[in-house]
Amino acid sequence: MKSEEKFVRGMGQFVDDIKFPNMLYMSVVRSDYARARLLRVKGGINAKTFNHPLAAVGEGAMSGFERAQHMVFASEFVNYLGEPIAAVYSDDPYKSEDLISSVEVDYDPLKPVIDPEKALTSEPIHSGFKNNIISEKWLGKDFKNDSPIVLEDSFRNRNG
Amino acid sequence: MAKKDVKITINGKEYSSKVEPRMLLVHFIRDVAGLTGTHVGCDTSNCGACTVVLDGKAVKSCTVLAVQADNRRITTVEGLAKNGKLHPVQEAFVDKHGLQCGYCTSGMLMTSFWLLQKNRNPTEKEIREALSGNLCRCTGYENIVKAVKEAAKEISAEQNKDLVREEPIEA
Repeated sequence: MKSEEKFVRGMGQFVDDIKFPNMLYMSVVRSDYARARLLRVKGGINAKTFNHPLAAVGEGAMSGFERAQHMVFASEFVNYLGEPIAAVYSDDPYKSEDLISSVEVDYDPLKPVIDPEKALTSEPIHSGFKNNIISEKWLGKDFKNDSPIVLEDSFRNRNG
Repeated sequence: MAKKDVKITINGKEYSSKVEPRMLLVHFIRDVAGLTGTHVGCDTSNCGACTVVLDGKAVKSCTVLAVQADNRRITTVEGLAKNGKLHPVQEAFVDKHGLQCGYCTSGMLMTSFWLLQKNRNPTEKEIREALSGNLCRCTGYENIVKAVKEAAKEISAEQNKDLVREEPIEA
């Protein structure tokens, strides 16, 4: 069967279609705040019971990048709305959603910095960083801007 | 939560089960009936990957409860082909490369199938409007629209053949 024919017949296999015996569904307890201190997390699997970094986040994407360590679960601070704090499991996806309410999280909400230019001079989000700059490029003294027309602008990336 | 008995006919086959009232139709289709061709893309009725035809109407099965489909009839992507032969809309998606990863395809096919049932000869604008609730992140939609146009032509040609067969010209 051509691969396209498999898909139009609804016979494609995607991650959600994989079934294993005794498989569990996971639901994730996520941060309600864009920036907050985590005072207490009780229940589920959380940073206290599973304190590991994600194996790779954008590694090798480009040279000259500072590497921030991303933990599976937030501890001490949450740095964005929806950051994972804990995970709960059940053999039924609806029950695992229910279990989210069994996890208690106490926050001390802080003011998030949402302006990239203000972030340049704000307290660093990632521990071990001197500032919030992930990458800085300087084209060097050999870069000539003696073109007849020179355009200058600031650019914002929607995904930034 | 007290479970309810539901009986849903999917692609001509009856499936009965006791389900929680909150169970979504898409989970009944995927987990109770085991038909995994219907996909969950967004859970919020934005993407249309879960589109099925419920009593002749295209619906997003992530936004319908299984109990609402009790005693009703559903067609999913697995029900389009007849006796192993692809439906013209399926043929056309293959011919015109109306897919890459295949995730949105089931929903695209079901919306197109529904459109062509109620409108045999849709204009490009009508096709794009009908598919506006189905998102595809691979194809840029051009080949999908071409596929629906080709399927419309193919269906008309088949119907003309049937007419000729039904009313043969006497020599």
